[in-house]
Amino acid sequence: MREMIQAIVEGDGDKALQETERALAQGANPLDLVSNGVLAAMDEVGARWRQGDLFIPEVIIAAEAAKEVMAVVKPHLSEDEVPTAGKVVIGTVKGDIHDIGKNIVKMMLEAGGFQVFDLGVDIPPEDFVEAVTRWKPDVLGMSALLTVTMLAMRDTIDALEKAELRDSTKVVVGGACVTSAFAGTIGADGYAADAASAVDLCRQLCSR
Amino acid sequence: MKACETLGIQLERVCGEKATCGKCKVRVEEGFHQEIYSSQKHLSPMVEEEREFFSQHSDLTGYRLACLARVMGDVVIFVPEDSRLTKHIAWKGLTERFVSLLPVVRKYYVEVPPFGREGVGREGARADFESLVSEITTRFALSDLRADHYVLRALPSLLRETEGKVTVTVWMNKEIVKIEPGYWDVNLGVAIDVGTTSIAAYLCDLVNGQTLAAEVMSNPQIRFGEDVISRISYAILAPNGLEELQIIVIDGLNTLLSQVTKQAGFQPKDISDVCIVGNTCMHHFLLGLTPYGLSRAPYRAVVQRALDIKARELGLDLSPSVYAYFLPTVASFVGADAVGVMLAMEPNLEAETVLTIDLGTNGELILSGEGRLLCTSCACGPAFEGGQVSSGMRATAGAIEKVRIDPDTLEVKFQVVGSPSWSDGQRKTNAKGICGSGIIDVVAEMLRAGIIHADGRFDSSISSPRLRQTAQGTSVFVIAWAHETALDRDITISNSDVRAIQLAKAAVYAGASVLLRKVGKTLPDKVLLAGSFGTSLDVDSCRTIGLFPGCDEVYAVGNAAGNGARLCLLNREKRLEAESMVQKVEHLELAKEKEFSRIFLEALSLGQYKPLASTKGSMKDL
Ligand code: B12
Repeated sequence: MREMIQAIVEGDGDKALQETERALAQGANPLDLVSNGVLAAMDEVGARWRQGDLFIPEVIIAAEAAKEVMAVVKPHLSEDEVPTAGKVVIGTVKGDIHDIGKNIVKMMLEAGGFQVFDLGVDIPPEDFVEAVTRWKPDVLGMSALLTVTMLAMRDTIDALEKAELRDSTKVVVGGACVTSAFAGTIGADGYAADAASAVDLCRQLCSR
Repeated sequence: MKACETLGIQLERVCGEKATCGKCKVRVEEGFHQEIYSSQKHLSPMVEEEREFFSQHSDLTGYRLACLARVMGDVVIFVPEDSRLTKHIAWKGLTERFVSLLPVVRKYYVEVPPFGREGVGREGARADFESLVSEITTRFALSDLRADHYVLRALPSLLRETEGKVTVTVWMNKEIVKIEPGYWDVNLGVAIDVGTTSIAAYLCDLVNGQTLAAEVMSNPQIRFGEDVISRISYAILAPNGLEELQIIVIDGLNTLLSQVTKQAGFQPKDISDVCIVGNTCMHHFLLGLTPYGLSRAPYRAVVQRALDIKARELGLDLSPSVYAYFLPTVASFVGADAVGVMLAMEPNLEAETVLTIDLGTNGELILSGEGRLLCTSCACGPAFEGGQVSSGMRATAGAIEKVRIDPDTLEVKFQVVGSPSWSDGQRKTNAKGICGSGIIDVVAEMLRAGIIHADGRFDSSISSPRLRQTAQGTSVFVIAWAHETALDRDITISNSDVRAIQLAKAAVYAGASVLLRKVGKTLPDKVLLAGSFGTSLDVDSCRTIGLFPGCDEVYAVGNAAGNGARLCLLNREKRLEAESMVQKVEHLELAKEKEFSRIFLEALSLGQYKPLASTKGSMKDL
């Protein structure tokens, strides 16, 4: 399993798959492969990213490798064993089309076992509300990179409140211009500065 | 911060008071200082953001951020040198080029008869203005001349004092904009480039086409934020914000105009024509137009066409009837400055494919070739102007602008703005930080020396006193030792500084690639690098980090936008050319280009472009 983790962290998808198949053939516990393998690998990726050792492209490739391993392991798990860390609806707010950061958050969340519904970019508050109504996520994530579009996050939170959905959904926000102080002012439940922290944050909020 | 400013000390305010840049840090002296009892407690307590900043900068104990701390009692404040906003001395040369002289303003000397020695003549009953006009129209090929009431007000006494001998400045062959006593053939114009970061003015002699003087200052609006979006937010959200931003930039221009004329032995009132370029946002601020539409999709400007505005209406201290010409803009983020660049580079669409990059907080890209002229903007961020970089600063006094690293010994030598010699590792210099060209040099040299890898990671196997780990486990590389600087600490480049450059350069690279693809090319034949970086920008370093798709012919062309404005000053046909160019140019919105993100992610790696060996083309999904 160490080899598999190593291969994911290094972004070597083919090797990661080989190692996974070998482990499965040797009778490894698939659930163990997920929680102590794939998830552990992604935790390491996050840690090394924060240390400055890895950067966006490497992280994406690692997340991609993790996703492939998951796809191979999944059929070996029974229905209720498939780990779902939680459901997340994510999107970039109205007026903003920056989506690279949001997409990375989505990939990392998926690699971390979350089920993610991505609404895309330039999403007005009504559409966020509709998606929350439809999918009943544990967490709603909003991304904004422009100082001027940041305020749209507050509008969405207001809209959720009006629709009486605020209490049942945690709201997290992020994007280059957002700060934890800003997240506090608009009454969000959390802020994360990067995608690895976003995964930790969502885990925390879902376990509460 | 207000207190410092009242006392005449301007502070850096790079982040626009968001408590992120820390450039306005000041230290509070404890105890008695000349009968003043100063204490930390006499400032408002730290708020969340300030605490957050200092928790990441443990070396700054005793400091506060002037943008947040409020004065509640007596305090004695020490303002470190690097917190002060200093005078801009970035490169201000302008490549001289040939252009035929055909200014919009021309001077005509006339002697109006009734005021001459022959006394009251046949036309004695005529009005002053009509006498003047009749004399001009009979002597020169001009007709239908008009003038505004400022000219009329000054006319009678001028004619009487000079016995009718005056020099008349005529604008566009149709309006008298200035009347000067006697024979005065000095005809001056000024070209102004208002950038987000700095403002440059070029005083031109419209008689012989020469540039007599040039001055640069940093844009005083910087106090309201480094990038245009922050300033737009201020203009929209603060009461009278727009007015304040306009007044402050016009004040700056007035200072600049008196400096640039003084340098050549003249006065602002001697100027008879003004040409202004600037990005669309600066253009709107100068004119006092709301930037609201520029701030959100669909990014709509108030006006795009070229404008002739009386300089006095803008608040410029010039002769009151003189006009200022604003070059047209292309789009919200491709402004009159880009039009100036286009004019200056004189694109020949049928010849080679030329990529012009105007580097700044908002990079503008222009591509000509294959019969087309394309442009776009890429928001690369302030890293190239020293923002978002821990030791970053603008190209002012004390900025390290050139860096070399010996690949064997990893020893560093650097050059500081305004001093031609390299550092020697011993001598004290006035270095306070690193500006854009220096940062590009550092990253390129670190890459060449193997200190960082192409993915931006620091090589942990290297051992050198210059390479060290911070408490958080990240790495920094020392560019200047404390004893070589004007500060009492080392000037370093951190891992996240390299990351900021990677993001900025990837945006430029990806934007350029998208443009090239539109004309069916992958590489340009020639690259021109324009921008306030000027001559200090090292073309090889830009190539080394992979700022643009590879190409052998690369030239740094200095302030091409300012050059474009100058062309419009010297030759009125250039104005028509500019106006037709904005009709012809195809503006591309990168936000709508599907492949941008993929190329951006691939271009994050340093060095010349190699597509990443991604597992199953995962980048395509992004
Ligand atoms: C790439 C880019 C673009 C691309 C976007 C392509 C795309 N599909 O996303 C293009 C060229 C289209 C673009 C356009 C514009 N851009 Co732009 N852009 C950038 C750039 C260079 C990088 C952004 C990026 O992708 N970073 C990498 C990602 C991985 O980081 P991230 O987004 O911050 O995301 C991380 C975290 O923030 C966090 N996170 C993100 N989202 C979320 C969400 C949640 C819930 C959580 C928990 C965490 C989280 O996790 C992510 C991964 O770690 C930045 C400058 C810079 N150097 O940062 C400017 C920048 C963001 N843009 C800027 C501007 C002004 C614009 C334009 C308005 C101007 C223009 N020139 O056209 C337009 C606006 C378009 C629009 N309507 O939104 C400014 C914003 C300034 C401000 N103060 O608001 C910036 C900062 C540059 C600058 N200083 O001038 N841009």
